[in-house]
Amino acid sequence: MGELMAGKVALVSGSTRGIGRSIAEHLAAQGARVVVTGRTADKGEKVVTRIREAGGTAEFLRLDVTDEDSVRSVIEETVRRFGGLTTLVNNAAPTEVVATTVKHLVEYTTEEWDKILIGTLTGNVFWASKYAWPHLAAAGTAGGASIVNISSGQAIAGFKGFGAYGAAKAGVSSLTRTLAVEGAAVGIRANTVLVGRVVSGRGDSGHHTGGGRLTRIGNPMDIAYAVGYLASDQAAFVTGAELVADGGFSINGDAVSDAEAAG
Amino acid sequence: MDIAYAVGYLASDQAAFVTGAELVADGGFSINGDAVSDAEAAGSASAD
Repeated sequence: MGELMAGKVALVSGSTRGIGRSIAEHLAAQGARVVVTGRTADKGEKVVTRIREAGGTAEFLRLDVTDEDSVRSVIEETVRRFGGLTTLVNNAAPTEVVATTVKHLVEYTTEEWDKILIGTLTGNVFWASKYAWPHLAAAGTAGGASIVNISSGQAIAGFKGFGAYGAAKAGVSSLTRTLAVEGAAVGIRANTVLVGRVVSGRGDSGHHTGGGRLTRIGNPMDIAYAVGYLASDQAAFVTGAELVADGGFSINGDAVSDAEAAG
Repeated sequence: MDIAYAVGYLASDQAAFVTGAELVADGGFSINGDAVSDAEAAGSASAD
């Protein structure tokens, strides 16, 4: 067990599986009391059990980030159970909707667009930050509070068929900067982890190059460690930043040359 | 120590998936649009 997050209370949206689960487990292993959230209670309770078996403190609360009342009540319940909220990790994403709505932008219905925007940006970041704000400000004034938003390479590059998700993720990155500026006076930091290609299977996939990667495909712990650093007081001077954890994908000019040569 | 911690994270194996990245540790200085507005306001105020 580490102590980087000792005394913190962290709420992680979308933490019943994948990257969110690893974030919740890592923050708990560093001493935070963690609220695991998601739509599926049995999965969430399993994550809580794993955290407790490892010596950590966690509780599951059912959360649907597309429902404003759900977001508000989960935050209030977190504060009721743990006496406050210091750390908000906005990780949820409407992955099923995104995966089943891959089409050119002009073919999107407004309903499809709205679902992706709410699940990624409006509910996941705007509502969560809005209702967490007074609690984070209280913690920030007392010592330190932070928001970590999970964004994606889709925020900075265009991917065919993913227009709504890309726009929403770019919005997440932008909101981070607004939250950082507005939070400065009350001790709330806000940062983004911009996530590249990550596979949710456990274990290191090994170091290899190819496919435009400089290192390897990421795993959920890569992202959890990045969030852990930004959420901890070690990053007290870091706010409004975007930490790119993508194995060098987005800065690899050679990937373009290689693709041209292959073509 | 703010910078030492940032370097420590990037140098450790916890950052094994992080390469080519630029971690800005500046207290939000570079993303603060209000600083520009404030400076402009201060400039116009002093011009009055």
